[in-house]
Amino acid sequence: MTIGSVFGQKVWLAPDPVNLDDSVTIWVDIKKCDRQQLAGSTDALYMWTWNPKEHAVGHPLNNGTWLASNDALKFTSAGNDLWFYRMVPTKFYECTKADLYSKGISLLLKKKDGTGSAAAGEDKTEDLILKIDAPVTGPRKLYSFPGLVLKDSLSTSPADVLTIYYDRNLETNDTLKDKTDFYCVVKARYGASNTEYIYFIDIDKLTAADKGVAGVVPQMKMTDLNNGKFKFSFIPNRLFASKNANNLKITAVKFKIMRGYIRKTYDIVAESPEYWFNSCQ
Amino acid sequence: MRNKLIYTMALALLVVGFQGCKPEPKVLGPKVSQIDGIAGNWVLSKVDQIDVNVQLAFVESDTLLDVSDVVLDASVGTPMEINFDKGKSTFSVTSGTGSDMINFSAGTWNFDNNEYPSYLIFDKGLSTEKNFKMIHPVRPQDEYLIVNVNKMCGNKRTVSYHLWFTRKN
Repeated sequence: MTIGSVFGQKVWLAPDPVNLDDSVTIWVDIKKCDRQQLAGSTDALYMWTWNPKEHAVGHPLNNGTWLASNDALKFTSAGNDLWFYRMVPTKFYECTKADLYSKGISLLLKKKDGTGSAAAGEDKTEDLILKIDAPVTGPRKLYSFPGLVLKDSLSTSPADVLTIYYDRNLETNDTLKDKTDFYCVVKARYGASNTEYIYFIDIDKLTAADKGVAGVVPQMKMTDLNNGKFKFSFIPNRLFASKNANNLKITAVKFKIMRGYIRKTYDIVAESPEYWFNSCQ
Repeated sequence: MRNKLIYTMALALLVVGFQGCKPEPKVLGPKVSQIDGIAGNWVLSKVDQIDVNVQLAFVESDTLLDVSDVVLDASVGTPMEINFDKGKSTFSVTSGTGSDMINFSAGTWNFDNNEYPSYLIFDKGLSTEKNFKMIHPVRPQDEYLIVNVNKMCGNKRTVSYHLWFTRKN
């Protein structure tokens, strides 16, 4: 199960990373959906899917009709408004893995008869989109030590040392190719809700006042390894101690590499990944 | 006849020569005690982090990173120290940077085997017992005590550290 499932996603695939030629499970958490018409439903729920491919009428895995879904697309309840469906994606959709990476999976859940009522609307969820990332191979521009164990998850906790590497040799932004004054500006997601952040600079809402990066976060300067690579090592709990007065649990860190003084947006590395920690502290 | 005499003399010289090369027998000194070796004060001087999830490593840096600069950041404080009392089998920790790696302030210590120790055991037999694998022997002449610390989440090892303590006596 992806860590994202624990922290608020309404639909996800397990295992993660996924092998699309093997059995996978699509999970839907009705409680997290925008439309709540199916919350607490004791009726069977069915998948209605159209991406990467919608099977034609007569195909055994066709959606059926809106008034009578195909029983082959029936989800199983895991209780507490959690529903799942097992499939081998490339076989189910009769497509290639490339189709799944480029189009993802689009679906919604509905009752067998999705008509619902005039007052509450149709008995369905909103459209649910599953994006599936192609596996990463070869050199990476941004990576960590210890490495990721899942797509965006570390095995370590925020009490452990985390090192972020930036390989400028793989930079496609010409402005940065000969620069060395890099800062790894980090913000931390914390608290039980997983929706709050602590930071010295909000990397998601940079303003003109933030251009003097070197003066605001000197502690986040990256070390030049003199081979085109730069690194920044830190202990998240220690780095954010002054911002975390109540010692709330840090669940993830998001970072952006930028120069010590931002003159234009080209002084910032485009990517801004977020890494999740394990559930232990 | 003359040739036979020459051969005999050459053979005799060869035998004498070989005997001259025979190494002198060496006598080993008394066996060193690692209990004596660990006794005293040690200060944390180096920390290596080990990525336990790397499945294919070509060079050491794929799996091991020296993180001393971060853990032992001098601006945060002085490094932790630990004292091993030989007579009482007790230890005490002077808190400092890196203390959270051990998470002990005092207790008892043992080796798993006093002659050939592989593990250093803190609080043996108690609910707080922890075993630290020794990376290197700790004889009286050894400058470092190096132990492996595994961080766990449930039953899963998440990351390891090698803690290098330097003798402070």
